[in-house]
Amino acid sequence: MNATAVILTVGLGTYLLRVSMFVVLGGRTPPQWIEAPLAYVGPAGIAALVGAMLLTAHGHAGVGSIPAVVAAVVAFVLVRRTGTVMHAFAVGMPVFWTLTVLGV
Amino acid sequence: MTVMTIQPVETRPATTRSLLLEGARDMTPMVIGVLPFAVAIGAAVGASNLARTDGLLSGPAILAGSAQLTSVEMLDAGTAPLVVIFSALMINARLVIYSASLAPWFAGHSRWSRLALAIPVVDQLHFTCVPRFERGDLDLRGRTSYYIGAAGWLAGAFVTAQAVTVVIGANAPDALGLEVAAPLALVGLLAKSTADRPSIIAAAAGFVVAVVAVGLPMHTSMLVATLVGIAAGAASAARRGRESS
Repeated sequence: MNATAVILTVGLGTYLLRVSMFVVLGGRTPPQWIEAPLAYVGPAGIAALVGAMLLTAHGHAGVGSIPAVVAAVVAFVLVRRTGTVMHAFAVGMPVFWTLTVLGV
Repeated sequence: MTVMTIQPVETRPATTRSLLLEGARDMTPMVIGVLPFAVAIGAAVGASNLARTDGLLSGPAILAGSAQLTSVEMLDAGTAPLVVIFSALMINARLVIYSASLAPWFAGHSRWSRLALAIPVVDQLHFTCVPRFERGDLDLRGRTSYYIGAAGWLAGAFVTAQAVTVVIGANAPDALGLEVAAPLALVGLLAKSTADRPSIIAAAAGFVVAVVAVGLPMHTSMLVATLVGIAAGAASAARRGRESS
């Protein structure tokens, strides 16, 4: 099996995962026991990604970068107040750069 | 005397075009977060021993950065094909959850349309589209336009940035710290998506499990963390429901 075939197989398999519930649920509304927990997919999924990005590296738990963690905390608090996601960059990146320059 | 009619404020109906643009606009923070990742993947592809055509194919074929990067690195290291495929699909197993959360919003479409709408399903698409859909003012057609605008901008930017990086063989300078853009974009969304107590509990559980369970075999930590977070949120909501009834 050459690399092209592996890549195409991963692509096809990934599509089958993506389309799975579009097919299983068909044109119907999902039953309540599926629908109710789906409300927490966003918070759980986003927080899991953030945890993996900020507090793990190379398959181990640990703070990869203190400036990144501080920038993320500042961004979280700010967006909580303003409700505008773009503010996360507007303040988070300068906080990250400043702490990095200061050698934190 | 002339009869004055009172014009209600902002009655401009949402057109297909305006919803495509709205979807793209709302996706922009995610795009900014994804671009440095796309450049890093492009650089990894360019530095690997993969044929350039295979490297360029991997982006649009897989349309999911983590699984793509893992595939490219494993192929470069000479890993057995079945192990590469299995690892990549385990990383992408979480997409079944996003498939379940997005599918009901398009239940009114024909089978072929639904098969096509599943192509770009990815975390960021749920994070951006579902909160918008839950406002309840868009019909099926409106939701579809918004979704296509959001998905097209995300996937287009991701694939293009990668391809350009592979072709010109560049990488972003480390000093800019652009890799922080992705967690910042997600943290911003997290701040908006955790309004009530069950959501906060879901997020806290997902966060902690993703860190603590990072060593789980077969790249399952993200899937497990997401499922535990969802269960924690649902349990919290059920308990509240019982207390208030």
